[in-house]
Amino acid sequence: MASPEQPPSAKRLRASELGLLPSSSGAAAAAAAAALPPLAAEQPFPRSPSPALDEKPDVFAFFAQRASKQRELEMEVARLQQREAQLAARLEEAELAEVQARDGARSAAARAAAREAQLELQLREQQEALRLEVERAAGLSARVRAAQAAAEAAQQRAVAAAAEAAVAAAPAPGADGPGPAAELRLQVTQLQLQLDQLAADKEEGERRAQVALATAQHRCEAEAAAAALLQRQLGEAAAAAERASADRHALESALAERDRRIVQLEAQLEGARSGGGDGVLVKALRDQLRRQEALVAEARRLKEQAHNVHVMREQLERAEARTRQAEELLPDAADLQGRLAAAEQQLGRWRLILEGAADCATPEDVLHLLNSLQSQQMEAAVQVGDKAEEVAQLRSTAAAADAARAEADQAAAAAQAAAEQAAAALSRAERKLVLLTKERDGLQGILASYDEEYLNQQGAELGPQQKRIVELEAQVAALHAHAASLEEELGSRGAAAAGATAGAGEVAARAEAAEARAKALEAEAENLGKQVALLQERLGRGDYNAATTRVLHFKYNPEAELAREARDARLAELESENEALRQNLGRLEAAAAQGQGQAGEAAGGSMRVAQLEGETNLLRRRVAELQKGTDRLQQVFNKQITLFREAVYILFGFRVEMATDPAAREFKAQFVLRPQHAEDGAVQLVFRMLRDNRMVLVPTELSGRLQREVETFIDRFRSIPAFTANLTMDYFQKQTQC
Amino acid sequence: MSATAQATKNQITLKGSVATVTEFFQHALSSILYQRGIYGPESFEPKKAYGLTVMAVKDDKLTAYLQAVLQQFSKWLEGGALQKVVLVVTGVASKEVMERWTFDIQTDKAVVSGSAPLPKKSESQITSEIQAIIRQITASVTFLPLLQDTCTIDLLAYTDKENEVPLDWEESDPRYIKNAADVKLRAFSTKVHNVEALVSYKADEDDMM
Repeated sequence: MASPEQPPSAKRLRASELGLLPSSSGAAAAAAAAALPPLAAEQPFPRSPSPALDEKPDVFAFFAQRASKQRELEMEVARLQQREAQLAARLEEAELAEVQARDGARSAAARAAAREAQLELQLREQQEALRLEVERAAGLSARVRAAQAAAEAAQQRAVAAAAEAAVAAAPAPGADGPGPAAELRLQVTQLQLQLDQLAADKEEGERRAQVALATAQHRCEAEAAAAALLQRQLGEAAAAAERASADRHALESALAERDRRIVQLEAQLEGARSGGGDGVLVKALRDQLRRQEALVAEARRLKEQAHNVHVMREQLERAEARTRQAEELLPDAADLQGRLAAAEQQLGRWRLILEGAADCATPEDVLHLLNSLQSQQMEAAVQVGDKAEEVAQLRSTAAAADAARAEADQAAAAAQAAAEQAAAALSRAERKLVLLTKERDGLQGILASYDEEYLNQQGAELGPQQKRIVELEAQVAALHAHAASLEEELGSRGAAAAGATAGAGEVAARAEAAEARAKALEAEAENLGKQVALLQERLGRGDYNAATTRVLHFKYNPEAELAREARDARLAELESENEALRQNLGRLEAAAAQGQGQAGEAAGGSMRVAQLEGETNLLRRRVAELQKGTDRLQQVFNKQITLFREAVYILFGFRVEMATDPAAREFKAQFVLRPQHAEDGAVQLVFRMLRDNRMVLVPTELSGRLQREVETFIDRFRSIPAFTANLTMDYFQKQTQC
Repeated sequence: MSATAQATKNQITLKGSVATVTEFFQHALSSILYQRGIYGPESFEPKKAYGLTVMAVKDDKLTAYLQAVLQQFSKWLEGGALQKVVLVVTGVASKEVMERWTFDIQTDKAVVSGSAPLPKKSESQITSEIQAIIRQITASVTFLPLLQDTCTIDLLAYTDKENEVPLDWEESDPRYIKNAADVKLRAFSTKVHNVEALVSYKADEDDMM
């Protein structure tokens, strides 16, 4: 690389003449060289011996070199053309940027001008306001001065009046009376009062003027501050405009510079296109290049060494810092050593514990052991709970067994008592048997004596003794029977005693019986539940107690309404049928009247006539019933309408009568109103309701008299109620005033 | 449950209970009339109630009738006089009772007389119970026989006999169904009034065999 500080050599000058090197004389050329990439310098030149240095130049080599150089130059031209295209694109971009910059500058200038005009306008307005305030302050000052002058004049007048009063008062002692002096004193007093009043007015005016002046001064100050602010804003706007203008100029200068560079580049390009080669220059350039490369390599090596020195220095600094940290940590090392020894001792103790514990080779086994112990504890707790439950069940079973045993003991005691009773009864029966046996023997002896006596007497008929014998024999038989029954009872008692010994079994049987009874009761309860459900179902179905409950329904329910509508439809149908039959009957009667002589012809239709007559009678009855209903409705309607009319008469003061005329086409109905308070009962107002429901007043003698009211209330305000109310009040006032 | 007038959140007052039961009757009767096709769909409009979409009566004439009846029901409920409400569905041509929807009402007389403290029950629980009945009514079309003829309705009220009969009301026949089949529906309770629902319908001859 050639340094610009070196003096130009002859070869460089030659190269400059050929256009291969940029001219070192012009600054623009230097700038162009700096802007352009070092195209020629980067091209590797072929390493061929220069013809200037060769002692024996070879023509073919020279031409080959020339051809290769020509190719290189053509390639260089192509690259320059490409570069030209790039520069043209950049030029277009620069032009576009220039246009945009100019637009921005124009818009900024326009904004600055508008802002300037606005600020000038505000400034003028502020100046005008300031001028008005100054004028107003001057006016107030003039008024103050006038008030002061008036005060002075009044004071002078007061002084003169006082002098006159003094002059007038001088002959007063010699006068006839105190009248003029008193008047003068009164005038003096009045003038003094006026003077005081004027002084007070003057002070007030001065105070007001001062206040107004202070206000005006404040306002002037504020306006001045606003004006200063506006001036500052104006200055800022002007500075902004200047800056915009400077920017615009800078952009324009940059644009011109760009244009200049483009021109230079184009010139350089032209030079490069037209330039030829010079082997000597190329060699010199190549040598220079080599030297420069060597210098660059040396510089890189030195730079790398310098960099390594820096790195090593940094490493040294870091090592020193680590050394300092290690020295600082040295005092803690002894403490850590002691803690380490204590920890090792504790670790040894834990190892001993682990060796003592079963199946614990590692610390993790301790955790497993703890988990297994916890699970065993929980299982043991569960088993304890199960055992406690079993114990509770056994206790309840034992309690039940104790209760059963107590019951069995009681039953056994009862059975023992029964056995004892049976034994006592047995002994009593045995004693009784012995007595009876003795009695029987005695009686047998007596009988034997009687038999002997009978046989001795040889009587044929039974005597009283024989009867007695028969009775005694019957008694004996009864006693035998009694003894047999007692024996049976004894047997049964014995059986009962035997059964009582097996009391526990009987208790169990009783328990079973009780259980069976409970089951029976449950079944009964279930049946009762079913009955209750059945009863509820019946109740839900609608069954009810007519003594306490009443079934009601709304009269106008949909079903009844439907039935009513059907009835009405049927009635209408019957009415139409009735009408048709009536017409038929009329026709038949007419035909019968005409055809009296045609009896023979009518003979066939006589039955039909009879049938029709029956139907006619039926329909007449129905018509009569309907007529009765209609009459009843009519009566009720008349009653109600009369009541309504009377109420209207009492409430509104007019008796209203409505009349309709089907023949009248203009109106629907006509209403005649007779005032309640009128002296003449004949006066009346007549209104007609037209087909469009408008109500109009029909001229009558009364309405003619009330023309003004009619115009006011009906024609103008269209209020018939106001008209009738006014009329009612008129009549009422006339009646009460009279 | 918008009309409930409750003293506290879960305390059921008599008026609140009456409002709840009346509102239930309104929605239940409307649902029955819609689901059973007694009135056309154009007479109803959907509304939100009890967290469900129920069909409410829109027809003016029917609405006026139901309002009049429910107003009287409210009075009777407040006095504890209403024992049962029955919706009778009758065939127009045959004049035969086809269905009877019975709502049996048990009233806590002590609360009505004021001698017992106000019971407590959560609004959500009452709503869920009512919701279940409304759902059953909606589902009843699956088992009830199809009403092929045009039908009309009447509402019967079983009341205590000592109460006076209102001017627009009159005594009626209970309108039983011959050969009826009953299906008991769910019940709900406000702790003041307990309402049990049941539907009776005219069973086919084959079903009765």
